[in-house]
Amino acid sequence: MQNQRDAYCISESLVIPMPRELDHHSSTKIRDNLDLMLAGRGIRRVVLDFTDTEFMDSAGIGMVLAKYRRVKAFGGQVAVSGANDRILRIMKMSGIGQIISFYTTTHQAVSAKQ
Amino acid sequence: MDKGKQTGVQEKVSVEFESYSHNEQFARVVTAVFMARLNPTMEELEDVKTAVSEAVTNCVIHGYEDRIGTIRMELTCDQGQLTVEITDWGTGIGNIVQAREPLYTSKPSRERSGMGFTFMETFMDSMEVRSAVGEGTTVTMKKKIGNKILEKKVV
Repeated sequence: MQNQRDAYCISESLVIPMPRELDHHSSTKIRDNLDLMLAGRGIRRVVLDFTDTEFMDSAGIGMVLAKYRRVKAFGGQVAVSGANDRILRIMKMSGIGQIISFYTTTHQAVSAKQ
Repeated sequence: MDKGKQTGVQEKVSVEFESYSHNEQFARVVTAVFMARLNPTMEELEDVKTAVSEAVTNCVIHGYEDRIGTIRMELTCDQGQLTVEITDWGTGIGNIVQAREPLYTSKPSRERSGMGFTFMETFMDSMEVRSAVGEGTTVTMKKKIGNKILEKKVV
């Protein structure tokens, strides 16, 4: 359907590029990758990079919440970067703005102080 | 665009597809193509695509769970009024009132937000759910398209 860029590490952050369309179908693909990446590395922050994402439905909210729970268990944080206005609106509607930080660019998210 | 299409001839398209999760995207694309004749704004287009995505995902996850069944999507436009009807012949919903509550999910172990019906209600003008346990579920959603364009013409 679409080529998903691989997750990558910058210092203590793991950046996970989100697919162009984030729905139930594509979110199940991301989940498998993240669980492998989190195990065993000294990751303190997970940055969900929405720069390329044009569509997201409630499956995206479920995915972000699941990441949050998992990363929090490791004592880390979750940030969202590069989300367009509509995706930000959907995220804020669902209330996850209270537990997740938003950044305009992935660079800002990675270099922000914890 | 053909004037007749904008001013009120009723048109209907219906498609049936299997409940593979990649068909969530297929349903959105079909809906977007059908809506093009109504001259939607970007926001209207995205609103309907989101609602359709939620409804079809419900059929995939809840209606048919781990089996593959048929999903039927019927799109109607009548005088700028878009109606989307999405049906499955799966499990059905025992308690519709509970299912529609924000954050409720019958599958908390999976990565579900429980926002599906809330998003359908938010992004469409109306939403109606009919369901019978063991028979299936039909969701009917309506939205007036092109309001902003019409308002401008009146002024």
